Amino acid sequence: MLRAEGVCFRYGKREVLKGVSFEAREGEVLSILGPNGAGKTTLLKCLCRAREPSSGRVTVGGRDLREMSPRELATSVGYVPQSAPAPRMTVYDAVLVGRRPYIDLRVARRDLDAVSAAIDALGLSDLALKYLPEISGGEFQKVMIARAMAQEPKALVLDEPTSSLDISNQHAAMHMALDSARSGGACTVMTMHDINLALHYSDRLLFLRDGEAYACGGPEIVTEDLVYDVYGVEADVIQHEDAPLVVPRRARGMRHGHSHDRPHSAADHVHEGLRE
Amino acid sequence: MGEERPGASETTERYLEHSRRRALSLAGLALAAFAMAIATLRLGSTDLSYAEILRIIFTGEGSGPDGWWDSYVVWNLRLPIALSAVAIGAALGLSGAVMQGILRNPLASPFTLGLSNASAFGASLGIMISMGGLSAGWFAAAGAGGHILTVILALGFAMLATAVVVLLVRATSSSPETIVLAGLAISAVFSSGLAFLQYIADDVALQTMVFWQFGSLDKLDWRSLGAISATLAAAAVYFFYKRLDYNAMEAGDDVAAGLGVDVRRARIVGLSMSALMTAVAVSFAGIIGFVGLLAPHVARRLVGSDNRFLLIGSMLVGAAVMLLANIISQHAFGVVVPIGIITSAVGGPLFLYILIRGHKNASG
Repeated sequence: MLRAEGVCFRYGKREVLKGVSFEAREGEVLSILGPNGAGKTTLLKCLCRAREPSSGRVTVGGRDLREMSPRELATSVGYVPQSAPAPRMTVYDAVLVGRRPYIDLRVARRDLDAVSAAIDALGLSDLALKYLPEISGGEFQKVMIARAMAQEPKALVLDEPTSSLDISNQHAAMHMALDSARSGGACTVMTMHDINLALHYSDRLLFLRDGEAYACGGPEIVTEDLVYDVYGVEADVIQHEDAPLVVPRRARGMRHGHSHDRPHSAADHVHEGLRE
Repeated sequence: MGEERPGASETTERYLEHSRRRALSLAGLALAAFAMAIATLRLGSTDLSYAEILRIIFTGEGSGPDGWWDSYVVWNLRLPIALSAVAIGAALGLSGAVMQGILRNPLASPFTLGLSNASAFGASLGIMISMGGLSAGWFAAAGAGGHILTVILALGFAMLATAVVVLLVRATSSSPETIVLAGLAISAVFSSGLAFLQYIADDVALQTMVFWQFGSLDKLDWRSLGAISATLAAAAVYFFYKRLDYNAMEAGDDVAAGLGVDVRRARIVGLSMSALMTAVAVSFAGIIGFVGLLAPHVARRLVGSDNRFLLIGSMLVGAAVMLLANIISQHAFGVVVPIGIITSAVGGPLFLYILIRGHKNASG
């Protein structure tokens, strides 16, 4: 479905992505993980053509994104940014924006149906006529997801979809991502900071380290060594309700002399993720 | 607007009802603008009844011994001014709405690109040349009258300022911040040029320059109205066709690009057309402040930021504000006060009121 083949990306002379390859299959949820600065967001932007890879290619359904017309691209990949402006637009209008690739001059019944379906699926119907500046950060995040769902893309690409959500909304958002991926046959690719949330809900995980794909596979690939190699953090990986759970070791969390870029912030974030 | 409705879900039903209310708000605005246009035709030293005004508009002739004069007053004095107020107000409101949308900046207005100083510089140059302050042999040879020269130079320099911003954007990036900052820089350069011209001008030229900058509808006639209306019509058709692209751009550049919008092109064409529309209006009428900034804010409070409604709403509010300001400027003080002074004097407090109400609503 969505396939990255040897994707490289440079900001000036700095190589941010060094030949990343992976595939997200139909109906699958794949999370991209890694410490800050590993290239997660850049990779995600290459997946929706917001950035052009310096080499390598991204395909959806076998079609290279670069060969797609703007309209074909819009119906292939739906992108949800981590944050976005909130104009004085109603929730319904904001979700209707996602139908732009389908509307020529007139908003058709099919467009309204798709918008209502996305709004109802994300539990936003009570807020449909509220203006965006009047809703909470978590509700706004759901609006952005609903907009991408109304786009009816083959691949849904989300940047930190749970970053401004509380624990109940985090789980609700993840459930919805899974449901939409599985029922609609679309694949969902998202960047995640919370390794345990990703483990709980993803079919597969891709770990990035210094712009390279360090490992890609099901939850079983997450081991204590992997967590240490990627994040520079000593952690126990325990089984909890049939899923692995990463628990950083207190006090001895950091190994001395580890040469990772920014191990401290990454370690902090794992703790943060557990607190949430 | 334009949605089909049978068998829609409950959420959609509520939305369609909401859309109908927005359409009603637009109709209310249109009615308000129409009432003020009628008042503009009615008010003045020559007392005319509504029936007489209608007769003159539809038959071209007035009744009674003074019919020719009444007809002259309506056709040559009041109607061009009323329609010019509508066209200029609509143009400023529309370009303000588009600029605020594509730059995602609530402080953007038709003058964000440095247009006001550039056109004031051009007009002042025209005034100096036509008053013989500068050598202008070839202009005189070309038969350019003073007024036309002022208009041409005001328009030319306004578009030059826009071209510089557009070229800069094409050479660097099209980010809204770059555009706003580039506009500020251009504005500063022309402001300095304008100050220089004022410094070297004689008293009569200086007075004319300052008066031009106030903005006034008195200079307008059917020809200028034609030019302003034609640019407004072309721009309005284009902007309305692109309304969904502008909605997508409100959600951020990456999202808009992902929805198939060529963001860079949309921004460059959008701001060029806004600038052209404003420059044409300003070159005939002078600088009319605050309408382009205020109208989209008022319209946004009434119908929201959805450009399907906002663009029309901003045009209607712009037209209504201009008509109101024109009535005040013509009749409130015993002498005619330039409309540009009134729009800023009325627009400033009104803008503050909207900001305070908006803040109260957001925190309440």
